[in-house]
Amino acid sequence: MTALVWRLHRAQVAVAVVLLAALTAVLIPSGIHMAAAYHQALAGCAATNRCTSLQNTLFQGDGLILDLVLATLAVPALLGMFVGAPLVAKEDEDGTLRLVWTQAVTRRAWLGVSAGWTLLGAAVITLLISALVAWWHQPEYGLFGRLLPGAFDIQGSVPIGYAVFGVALGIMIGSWVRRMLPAVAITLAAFAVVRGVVFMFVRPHLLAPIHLLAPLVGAEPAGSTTWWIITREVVDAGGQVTTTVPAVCSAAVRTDTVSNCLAAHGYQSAVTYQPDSRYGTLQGLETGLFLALAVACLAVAYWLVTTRDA
Amino acid sequence: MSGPASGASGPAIRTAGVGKRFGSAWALRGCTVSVPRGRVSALVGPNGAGKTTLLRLLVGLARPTAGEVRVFGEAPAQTGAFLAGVGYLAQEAPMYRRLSAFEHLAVGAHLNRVWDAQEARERLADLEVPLDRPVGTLSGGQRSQVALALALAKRPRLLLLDEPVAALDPLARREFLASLAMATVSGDLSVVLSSHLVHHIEHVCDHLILLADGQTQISDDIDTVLAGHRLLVGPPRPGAGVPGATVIDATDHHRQSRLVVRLTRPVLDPAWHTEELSLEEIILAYMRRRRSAIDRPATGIRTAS
Repeated sequence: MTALVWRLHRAQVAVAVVLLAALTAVLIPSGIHMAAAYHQALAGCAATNRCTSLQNTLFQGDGLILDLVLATLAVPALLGMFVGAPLVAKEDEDGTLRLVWTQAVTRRAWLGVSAGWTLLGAAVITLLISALVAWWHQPEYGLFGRLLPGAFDIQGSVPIGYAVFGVALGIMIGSWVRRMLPAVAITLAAFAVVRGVVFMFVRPHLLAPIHLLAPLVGAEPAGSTTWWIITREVVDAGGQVTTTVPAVCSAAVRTDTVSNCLAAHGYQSAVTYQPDSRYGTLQGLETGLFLALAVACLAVAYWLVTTRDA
Repeated sequence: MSGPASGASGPAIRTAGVGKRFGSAWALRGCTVSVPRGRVSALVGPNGAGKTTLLRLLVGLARPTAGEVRVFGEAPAQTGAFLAGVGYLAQEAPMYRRLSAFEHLAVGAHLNRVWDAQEARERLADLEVPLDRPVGTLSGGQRSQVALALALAKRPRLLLLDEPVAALDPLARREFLASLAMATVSGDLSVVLSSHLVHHIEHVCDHLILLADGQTQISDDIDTVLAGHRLLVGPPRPGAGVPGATVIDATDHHRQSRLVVRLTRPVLDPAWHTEELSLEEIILAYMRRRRSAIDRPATGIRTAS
């Protein structure tokens, strides 16, 4: 079975290797340059005690590369569409399922080996990309943390979870609709929906966030630039969330004078956030969630493959 | 039902009342056939008769909705042991278009317990089929030869071929059937070969299964079929049957009736002139009978017109 899987996927492996090599060739010099710029700037601003504008000096001229790094967000979806979805659907469309399912290899073994190798391949590809991105991004983490969507979703273990889920989802949908193009389209749509739902409604609740009451004016709490701030609201002296400026402060016109007035009347800022220190736990939980979804998809695919007619 | 007796000496294939439904439409219904071992059987019927469905049920690619299927006494199953015994060449000979014949043979060795790549390579080399080119670039005739070589390389006990020559030109068809005939010389291999045109495959087959309207019309040795059917030509005698014969199809003209009949004993009535029939004429008569039975369900078969 492995001999067949390799022959059917070697072109995809070659494409992946070439793209990965190209990405490495772009990111390594850029990453070295960026790290140097960061340390230089850090040394410079530490001397003057003003490090607030560091992010502006860091990414000058790197806009395109930053886009490229953010584009790796699409890799798990692409793997689902072009590795997962065709696995059964293309063979069904080409009729080759009727060839391979009538050799002396059971459908269970066929699916196990085909899915096993493609899932492993997808995991390895995303692991390499994620490691490369994490290394490139490193200087920035000290400034912004790793919990913001642009960083959290493209490094660590979650890309592997996404990719494994994407491929498993593609296999399941391909086994179900049995035609290549609809399978690819539905895989993309379903993947986007699941990722979106998890990002918006599940990730904020994976760990109970921290609630903090901070003064409306004055210095931000230490380390808050690296937090993932989920909500930031204004509460009155009684602790109630409010969105209207009370009459006592309506005379103030400029933002800072309003804030000063509100602060003087006991108003505070209520922040709900996850600190950067929870990065590892959040990554692990979300990865686990996607791996569990992948297992569910594979179970359905197994049922479809072993019980359906060909 | 799958006792050792039926496994060791029973028919290669036995189906009883087999039906397969897709949605609300029956592709095959009440199909009962028995295919002897060591024979090359022609599975003949019009398009849509259920030939492909029957073959897919036999190799376990599909499951019957009704009835039972036995291949060498066993129900088709997704097990290595069952699949190893049955070679299957699907319609249009599907293969991995980008892989060469050589690669297909190499892969087949990994997918099967028994694999005779040597013989397959020699057979294809004799036919001058390029082994190293992607099979997608080969001619239809060459592709079907590769597919046949693949189906034979696992040394099956039963070989099922679904319309293998339908898409081939006459020369490629002749070469394909010659290859098939070579493979069946040993006599251990049971073959079922489907075709909607019997004259394509008549001379390689010795057994006939005629499927029409999802039902078995004939399942017999071709010699027996030929000996058992006659054309009777005589004066028109509406309403009269023929003693000792079942009328399959009748054509009435002003001056004479032409009846295709199945004989149970010789027709002695001197009013009838008796002629032999070709296999194709017999099959066409059965197909017409089926159609007229559908057209006029109230009056039934035109035996007494």
